[in-house]
Amino acid sequence: MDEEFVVTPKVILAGLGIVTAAGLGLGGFFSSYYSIPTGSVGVETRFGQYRQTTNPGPHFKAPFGIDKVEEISLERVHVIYVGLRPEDTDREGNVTDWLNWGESEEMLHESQMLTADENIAQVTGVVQYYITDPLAWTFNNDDPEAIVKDATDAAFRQVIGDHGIDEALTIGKENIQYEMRRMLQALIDDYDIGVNISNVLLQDVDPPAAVAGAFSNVQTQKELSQAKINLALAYRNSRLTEVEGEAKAKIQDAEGYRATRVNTALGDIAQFRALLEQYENAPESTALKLYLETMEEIYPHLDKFIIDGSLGGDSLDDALRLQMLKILEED
Amino acid sequence: MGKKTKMALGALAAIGGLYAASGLYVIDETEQAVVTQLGRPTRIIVGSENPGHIDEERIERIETWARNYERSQGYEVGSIEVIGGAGIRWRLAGFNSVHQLPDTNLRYNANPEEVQTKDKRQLLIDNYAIWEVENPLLYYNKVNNVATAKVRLEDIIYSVLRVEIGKYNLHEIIRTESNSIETIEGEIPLDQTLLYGRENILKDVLRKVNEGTTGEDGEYIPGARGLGINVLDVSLIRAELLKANQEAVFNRMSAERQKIADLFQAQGTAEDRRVRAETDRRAAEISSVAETEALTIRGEADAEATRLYVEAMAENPEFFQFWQTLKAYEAAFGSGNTTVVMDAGSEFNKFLSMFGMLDGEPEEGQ
Repeated sequence: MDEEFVVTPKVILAGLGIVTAAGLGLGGFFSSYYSIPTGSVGVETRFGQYRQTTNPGPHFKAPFGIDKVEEISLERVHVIYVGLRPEDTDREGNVTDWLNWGESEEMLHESQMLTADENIAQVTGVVQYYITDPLAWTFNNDDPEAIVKDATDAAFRQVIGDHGIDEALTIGKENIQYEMRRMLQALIDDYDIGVNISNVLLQDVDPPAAVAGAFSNVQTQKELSQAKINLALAYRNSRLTEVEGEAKAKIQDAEGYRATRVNTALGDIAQFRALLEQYENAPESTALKLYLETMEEIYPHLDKFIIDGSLGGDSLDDALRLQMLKILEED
Repeated sequence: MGKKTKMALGALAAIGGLYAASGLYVIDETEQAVVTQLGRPTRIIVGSENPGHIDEERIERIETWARNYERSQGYEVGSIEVIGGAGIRWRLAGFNSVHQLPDTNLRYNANPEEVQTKDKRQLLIDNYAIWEVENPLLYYNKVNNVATAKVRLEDIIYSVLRVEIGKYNLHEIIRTESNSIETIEGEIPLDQTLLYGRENILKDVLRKVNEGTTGEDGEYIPGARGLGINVLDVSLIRAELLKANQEAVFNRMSAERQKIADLFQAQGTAEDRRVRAETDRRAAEISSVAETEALTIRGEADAEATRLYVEAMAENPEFFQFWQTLKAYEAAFGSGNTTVVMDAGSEFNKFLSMFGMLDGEPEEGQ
């Protein structure tokens, strides 16, 4: 007789046993295997007690919730906003629209800070941090992200409270950012959160809306004043260039005069020496010749009356006198 | 043994096993606990700052406190066991209950409240505190849960803040260490000298929050330590002037800006005038220096020419004079129509008569 497969209670039990074992086996495998991605670590606990920290890669732990693992990224940059919040981001995660203090009562209060000179500034900023100590991050604080946010708000105010409004608005931003980062890191270290503050970036720092006009007026006056100064400087440049040109021309003229004067003298003297040589050979005739040449040159141009005072009236023709007077009258 | 007996024993064993298993409990690294037996504390499990380790020093501290506590309660000394460390443990289910308490730094963020400074400025203050359960059993007895703890802390912290802030003027609360600031006109000292500062005030607040102090109306404010709590830090998130005070600040800010705007305007005008005046002065200077230099050059030229002539004259003064005079005639009469009347005896005409020109009739003009 062929053995018949009879469903007896025994067989049912055996089947259940096999299924249970297989289930336990599979469940055991899947609840004990895990893998940690690059840049992260796994913090393993057994019955709540810390056991070990595992590095990136595949790992096995005790199954069925005996061991638990929490994956902590050491590379992820956490961001905290002060006085503004991202409202919209594009596909790459860049913020395209901000909720700022002009639009939200909450942001208005969050960004409002008193300065050392008892002015009010609207300060907005972004803080970036990453986890450096996964154990401190996991076990030391109830809500580490909220604590970092509170500490940031406190540090921002404390630093702004030690600086004047001008420093916050314009001239001291770099320094303020640096002090904020240092102070925030010190607070975070006190609380043992296991975080490194990598960046504190002040975004806009503005005067409150009620006094914005007064602040922009300063800017306008500053620019007007600069424009005025620039005009004066332009005047200086053109005026001095002109005067320097004139001065150079004057000196050039004088140099020209010098050359002409000296060369003329040299020419004259050369002529004189040439004549002198002749004169020394034949004084009388040379002098006469020179004299006649000169007279020839000048006589045509002259209306001339030359009176020899040594001669008496009788020697001079009366008619000549009259003629002379006539000519003088005509002129 | 009969089959029934066997089955009964098996069932008993199973029930026993289940009962035993239900006594297991887990204490996480972020927890500490108080175990009570029918309401009476029998065990304190204290946490540790260092995960996976036991804080012996802290256990010892709590143990000392527990011995005193036992005496004060009339319990048998040593009846409360103090141990440390997270992990799995066992208790007698039904008789022993486990009360898990936090073993992390906890954050408390208060609602903003109004306080007044010594110089009567109304401030809206928002603060946060970081705290931890220092003594599990004391905490369990006094507050029991985090929500209650926060309410109690808020009472204590605001009572202390009100007293401490009321002792100082506003600038002591705003500033920490600065006594001067940079402005667009350069570094200037601040009007009020800082005597104590924000950080010191908050340190006092922290100490008094932990240890207790006397309140505004003279009543005693018990400290957080009395609740088994240690406050690690109290910080101001916000210290904002109320509307009426803000108006005053805005008015002052506007006036200050107007002053700066006026200053810029005045500076622009002054600088404009200065540059123009300096330019004119400089132009006059350049002009006159050039004038002087030109005159010097001309003078030198004249001197040089004269020197040359004098040198030449020395060779034959008489002829030189004659020759020069002839040249002078040419220059004087060589162009234009000039009418001259002159004395024939003058130096100028010396040579006119030399050849007896005046003896006869003057020549007719050509």
